[in-house]
Amino acid sequence: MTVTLKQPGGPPVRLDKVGSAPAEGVGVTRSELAVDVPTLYATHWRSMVRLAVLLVDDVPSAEDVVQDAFVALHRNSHRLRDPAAALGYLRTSVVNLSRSVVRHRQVVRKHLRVAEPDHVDGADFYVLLSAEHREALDALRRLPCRQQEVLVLRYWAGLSEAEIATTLGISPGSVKSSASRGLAKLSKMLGGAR
Amino acid sequence: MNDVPKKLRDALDAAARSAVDDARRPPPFDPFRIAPHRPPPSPKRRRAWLAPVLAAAAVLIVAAAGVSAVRVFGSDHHKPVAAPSPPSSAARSTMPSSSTPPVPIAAVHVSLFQGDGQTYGIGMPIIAQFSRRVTDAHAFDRAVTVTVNGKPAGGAWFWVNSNSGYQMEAHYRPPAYWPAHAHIHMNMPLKGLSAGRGLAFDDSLTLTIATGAAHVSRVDGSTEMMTVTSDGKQIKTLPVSLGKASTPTYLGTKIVMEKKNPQHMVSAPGEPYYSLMVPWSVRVTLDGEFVHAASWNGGNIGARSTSHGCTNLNTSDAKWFYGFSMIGDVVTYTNTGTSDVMPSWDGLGDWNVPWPEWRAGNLLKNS
Repeated sequence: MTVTLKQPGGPPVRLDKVGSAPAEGVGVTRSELAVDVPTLYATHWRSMVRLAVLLVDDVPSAEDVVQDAFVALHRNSHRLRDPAAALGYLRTSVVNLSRSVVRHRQVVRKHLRVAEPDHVDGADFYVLLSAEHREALDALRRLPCRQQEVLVLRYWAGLSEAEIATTLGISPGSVKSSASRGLAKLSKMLGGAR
Repeated sequence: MNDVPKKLRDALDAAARSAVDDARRPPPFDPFRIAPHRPPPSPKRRRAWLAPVLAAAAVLIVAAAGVSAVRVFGSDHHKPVAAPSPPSSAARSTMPSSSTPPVPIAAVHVSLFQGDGQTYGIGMPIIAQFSRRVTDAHAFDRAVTVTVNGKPAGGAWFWVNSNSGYQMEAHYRPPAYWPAHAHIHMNMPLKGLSAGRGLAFDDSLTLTIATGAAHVSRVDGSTEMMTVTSDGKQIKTLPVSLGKASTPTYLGTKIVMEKKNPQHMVSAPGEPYYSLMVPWSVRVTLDGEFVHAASWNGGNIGARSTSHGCTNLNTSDAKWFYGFSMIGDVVTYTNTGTSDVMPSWDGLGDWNVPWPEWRAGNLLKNS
């Protein structure tokens, strides 16, 4: 499958220079010797919360995930050889922590005799969406975690296969297969619903 | 088919923007922030993050103060910014910075389940939630006072593990239900007090709530009837159907925890599968017993126990009960065909603990 990658700013950019949201691609200044967490927090908080919300589905959990990710970044910043890699580190934390939230929810649900609704739309943001968008998101939610993550990173964050592989800690081949399988299932679900 | 990636991208973008709009600002870092919906991250992590940030902030303030002092030196009407006050004792005790040796005191943050000005049923315990496990309750027990209509309430704290994501909880109740139509006031001057070796509370709270009418409903499995009383007067007798022999309804005293219309109910693992949206549902246990409308069970309501553990009512009765119920109302169950009493931890099972045992404090000893 060929992928056209949307990059803000022309020439190919390194992973650490690409913001999560194309609109908010604020890079990290190279000249800084240490990771400046407060500045990163100020510039990337919103795009990180957006990434998390697309994975966990509710804003409060997403904000917590991002908070924890920044905490993790700060604790480990001295181990980052390249301060510019901080953004990639952050993104990986957000994805991993979001996955934990989703799994924790599944476990909790399994152990309740009477569970909460299967799909909790934590906030009104979901209600505000158009029917078409909602349909697409609902379909996405039915995919396995990995495929959801790959699709969100590819189509929303605009990352390349290699970048997604680094973020998720999987091989580029797995990224490709997850993406194509996920997309195929989505096509089926969205096509079938018509 | 080819437009699926585009559809997905548009939907994701719309969702992201709808959830977090462009005007949304990051929340400021609050050293003692407790996320109400998730277990607070381990305080160790939070501290590790905060200490340097606060230290950096302090350095900035010092620098700013220094600069402004130099700039306005000699002019009277411009006082330099007040010298950076040393971090408050609580902050210092919990946040060792690199320049000062760490003080081995960790903060325990207290929050309350209840909110000021709310009205609850007469069975509602006051619930305090802790960000860290308290190891010694004596200072807490001595400091906290609860009054009902201005007189000491005479209750006690019961220390339990939290099932809502906190590290620990303490529930307060008097020996018998709260009086009806009463004002309850709690003063919790905990800040700085010890919560055990190496632990100190970091906040002080007060709480003012009220109780409404005394709603006590008695469900009797032998007659399949629920008798509803308000302020001691019997106002309704409703036919019910309780849990069948294989999924009996717990005995004991349950407290209304939540109301939902409709409530999504699904089968427990091992049961034949069901998934229903059930209208007029009043929750009485955490594991999923409700008092709810069961239009499908009409022939059995008032006659025999056939449910999965819930208390089935006819729809009109359930609708009435839903409107009647307040959080904290009391529902008692007898003759449900089991000897199992609702455990104290399965929701608000607080009244199923005998008073002497309650008074002792459970996980921690009361003074």
